[in-house]
Amino acid sequence: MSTSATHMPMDPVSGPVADGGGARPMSARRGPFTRPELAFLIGVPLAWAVLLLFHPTGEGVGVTYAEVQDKVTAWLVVHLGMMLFIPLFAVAVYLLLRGIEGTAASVSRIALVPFVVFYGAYEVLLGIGTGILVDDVDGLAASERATGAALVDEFTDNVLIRGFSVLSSLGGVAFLTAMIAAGVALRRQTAAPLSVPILLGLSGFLITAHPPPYGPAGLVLFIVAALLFARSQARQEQR
Amino acid sequence: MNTAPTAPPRVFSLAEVAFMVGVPLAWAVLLWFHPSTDADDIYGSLRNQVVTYQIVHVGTLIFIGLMGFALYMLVRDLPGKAATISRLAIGPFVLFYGAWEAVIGLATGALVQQANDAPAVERAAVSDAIQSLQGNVIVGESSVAGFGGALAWIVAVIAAAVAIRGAGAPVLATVLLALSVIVFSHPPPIGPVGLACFAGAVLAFYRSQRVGESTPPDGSAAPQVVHGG
Repeated sequence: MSTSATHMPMDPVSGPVADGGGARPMSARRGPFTRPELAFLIGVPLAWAVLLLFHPTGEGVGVTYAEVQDKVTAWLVVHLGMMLFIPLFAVAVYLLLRGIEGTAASVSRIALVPFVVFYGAYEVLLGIGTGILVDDVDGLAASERATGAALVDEFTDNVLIRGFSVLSSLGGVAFLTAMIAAGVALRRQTAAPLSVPILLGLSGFLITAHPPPYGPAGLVLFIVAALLFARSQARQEQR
Repeated sequence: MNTAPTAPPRVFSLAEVAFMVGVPLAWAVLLWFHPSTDADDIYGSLRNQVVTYQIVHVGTLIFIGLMGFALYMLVRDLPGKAATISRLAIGPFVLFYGAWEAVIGLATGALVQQANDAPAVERAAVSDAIQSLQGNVIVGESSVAGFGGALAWIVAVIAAAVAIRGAGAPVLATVLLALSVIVFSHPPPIGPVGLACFAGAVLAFYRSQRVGESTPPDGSAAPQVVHGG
């Protein structure tokens, strides 16, 4: 997982080149992705996209007991999966930047940490916390459910937990920063096609609003960006 | 991993040491304010200190990520299997301990605040919900997430202790780092003591690096300082 700053970007012809972080494209990676790396880069977002297709809608604008009460199992399964896929996706972005130096790459790598911490916490609270409460309320006597439902609705409206909450905002901004900076780094340092940073930026916006169709669409865009980048790297390697 | 097995261990910069010492000490200070709770009556024990509880746990969420990064910095350039195991265990620690912390700390705090704001007749129901959350098998007090996070921390720290010992750290640094496993139980006094052990281990390791740098065994020039990314 370690990427050393001591790895000087290598020009295939002239040898090491200085990393000024400027706009001049240069080959800075250590060759094309291996098959397992490519499988991870594609498999993680693809699996996450499939999981998100089962996401009960409603998140982001205020989740209520009424929306989740009949879908609590799907809700819990999707959000338990989210808890795993958020860090796995961060590893995928980290892998995409493997061996690439420069300010933009560093910004992207650093931004992945608050994304995992804050967006992960937001998902755990809103997803798993709410799911557990709804499950409890479903088990109450009918006469007590109104109180329980109000409890769930107030919980999901908490300043830390609701859509556009402190945690989701911090995590979302960190994720967008990571994706945009990753796109800039790939474009500047590896001469990736222009479509790669554009797709990565778009996917960042869509994934932060993760229920379908936005989340799965964003993850598919990420896969396309990764494939385009891998192809451009393979072509550079052949020259 | 850019350090060859035969290369001397990389000497940390002052900024790196300040981070690796400052983060655990700052978290230790915060944890001194962690309210104690009665497992059988969470609402009763927190209702009068919910703001403190929430501040401590919002901070703890941030410090979990920072501690993961501090431990990663410590073992980042060390060679060997133990260092690799430590690096790999940091991710699950941040993931599972953070998830557990988010529910036990933040969700509980939010519910206690709701109970305080609710009419008296509804408080018992909210209190029951809080107790139910604590007993949840996935993210409750004794849960998969809590156990997974604690186990990952223990593995990461023990492996790091083995790795720094292999890199020439003194016994004191190794023992102090190993003792910091107790941080998985973070309320005071255990959490702050464990974090102080971590900070002490970093300082002892750094001191040995500086001594080794200034007095090379063969009398040749001091080892070159290489800062990995």
